[in-house]
Amino acid sequence: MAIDLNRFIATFFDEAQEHLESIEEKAMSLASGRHDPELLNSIFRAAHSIKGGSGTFGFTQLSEATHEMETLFDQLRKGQRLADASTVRLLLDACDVFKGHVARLKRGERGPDGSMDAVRERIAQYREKAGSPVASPSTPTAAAAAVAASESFFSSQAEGESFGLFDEGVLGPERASAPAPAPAPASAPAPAAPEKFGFFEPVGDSKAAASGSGRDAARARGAEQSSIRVSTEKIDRIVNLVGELVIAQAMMQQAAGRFASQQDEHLNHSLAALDRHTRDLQQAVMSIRMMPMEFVFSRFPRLVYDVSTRLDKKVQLRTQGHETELDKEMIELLIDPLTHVVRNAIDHGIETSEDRVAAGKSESGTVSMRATHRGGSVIIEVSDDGRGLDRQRLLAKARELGMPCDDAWSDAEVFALIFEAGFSTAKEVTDLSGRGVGMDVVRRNIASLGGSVAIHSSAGYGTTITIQLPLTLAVLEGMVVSVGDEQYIVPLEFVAEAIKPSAKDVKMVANHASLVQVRGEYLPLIRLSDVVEAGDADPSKAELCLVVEVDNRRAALLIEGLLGQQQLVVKSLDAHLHAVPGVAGATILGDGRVALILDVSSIVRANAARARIAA
Amino acid sequence: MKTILAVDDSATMREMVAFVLESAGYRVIEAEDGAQGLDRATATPVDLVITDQNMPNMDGLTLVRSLRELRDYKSTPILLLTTESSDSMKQQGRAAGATGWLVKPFDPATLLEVVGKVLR
Repeated sequence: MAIDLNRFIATFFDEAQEHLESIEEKAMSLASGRHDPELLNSIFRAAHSIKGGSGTFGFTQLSEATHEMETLFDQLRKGQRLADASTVRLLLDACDVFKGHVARLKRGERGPDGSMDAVRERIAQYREKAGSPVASPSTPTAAAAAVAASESFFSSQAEGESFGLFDEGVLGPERASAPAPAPAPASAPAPAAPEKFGFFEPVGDSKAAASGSGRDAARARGAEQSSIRVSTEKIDRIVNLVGELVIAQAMMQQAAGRFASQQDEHLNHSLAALDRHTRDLQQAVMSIRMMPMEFVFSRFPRLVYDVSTRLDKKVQLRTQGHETELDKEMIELLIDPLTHVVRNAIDHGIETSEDRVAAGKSESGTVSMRATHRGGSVIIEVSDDGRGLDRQRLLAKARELGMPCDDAWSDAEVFALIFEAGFSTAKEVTDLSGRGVGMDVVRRNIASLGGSVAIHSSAGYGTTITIQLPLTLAVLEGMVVSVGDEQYIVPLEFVAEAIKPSAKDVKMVANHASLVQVRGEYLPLIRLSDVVEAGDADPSKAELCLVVEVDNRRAALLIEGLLGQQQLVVKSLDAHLHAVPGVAGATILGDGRVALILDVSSIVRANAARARIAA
Repeated sequence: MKTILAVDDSATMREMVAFVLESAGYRVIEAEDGAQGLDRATATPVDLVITDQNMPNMDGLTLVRSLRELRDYKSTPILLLTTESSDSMKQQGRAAGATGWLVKPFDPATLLEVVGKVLR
């Protein structure tokens, strides 16, 4: 029977990837010097599974190399040798090569991969160096050779039997020479050759469980299939369509409102139902794209291990909130900025062991990553218990670079300096954290995701970077405001409140700048008409303020009209135009008009920078 | 129609075993490790168990021993999927009460042949 097993290759690739990640993760806890049989056994199992699968599909190089790894772990779990830092290094490097190789195979490149030979050789040499008496030779083993002998999915059967029953008298291919009524094809006795199967007892008489069996099998099988794999393109298409549906629905609502608002109750009823279902549908569709933060966190143990060993620092990583869900696209875009923040924390934040002990701290530092949901946002915190930011040094550096700064600034303002382009206070530039091109890029990346970054630090105790992000990039809850003839969107996550200040609450200060008093606190007043350069704006109409809060900074945005709160489908501007300062994207309103979504974070920052220059 | 329980922590292996057996007209129930295999076997009577050896939670040999302690599984055929056909494997398998063994990677024809034998 010709059965094509190609269809399982995709499953194998996914599984191999998972196993490699699990080996990587577990390998890092090996260097502790403890003999942990369960840990070793689970790595052994992972390597073993990859070997088995790759053998099945004829991926010879992968099966040979994982065989070497498996043999090494066999020694380790039998206690014939102890793992140390060099073992971990070897395993991590090997995992990198294996991952690269799997990626090649996935792309359909089946040619020989030199790096795989090299890594197999390296593991073999490492294994032999220990001089373990039971180490098998480093040449490809029988199993691997069998795989190599066949380009088909399954190893060549020529070498012996592939199965057996343990009954000697009836079927066993081991000793009996085929006396069975239905002999196995490979039943010729070949004691020395590897057999492929065998039986322990008489077969062909298994009535015991036969009657009534399988009754519930179909049902059980149905219940097992609780998930299916769907390509992301399909999901994105649904997301886009639902986005269009939301817009169409809003348009219809608006159009109906013009004609029949009071008269036709039936129409209003139907429209309300449509609105409700559209929202539910949108939420349901968005939830398909949600992925747990686990996908982000799982990369960091390796990063922390690599960076800390390279810098010769002792660092522990703690992660919390693995189950916190975030849009898949966000998850992918978050990895780079977070990598940079964590690297920085280890490089600049955490001290060397000696310095830590001298300062009365524990020898090893801790980097914590936490993810939580708060309202419509996801908050991701990265904190370290290192030396913290040095206010004086930051100020000195800013002066040296000719950046505007002032001793009177609050800590938050001084710390925010590290987000400025070209700012780096590291005494020596290391190849890890780079030349101060980091944190400004982090802030820009986070802002492009519609989020914000804040920093808290305490000298001697550590630093916390807090990243706030919307749950998804595709929809946004926003306030529709107006200036002149135009409508703009202020993302709701930044809005603290809306107020109507009286004339006496507004104080003019130097250079056209104003402050507004909100319950005893003076906030900078930003005229939206200035920001968007609305020529047709009538200053006398601007009498409403939205109090916005971003990066620990509050400001009042002066607008003309507040038209309501709405769920909006975000359309990227970058795809069509270059990035416009102060604008985060665009959306289509219910009346079909395009409205720009304001980048509140950069507007508030630009205003603060202008105020400083003016002062 | 005969029902077969396939126990393997590798989804690739499990799915392939299931696919080969299903295309030959068997019903297949899958389990990811020994513990789940024992649960499935207790919940649904099966005609044959094919199990991997090295798995988390409960390994294949422990599963075989546990099944043999159940009245329903005293004589149900159980096949061990193994990567080696060493004597020690055979001793352990026989002692645990397995019916036979099958080396992986296996080819579909061999799998069907062995299954056909034990289910006859």
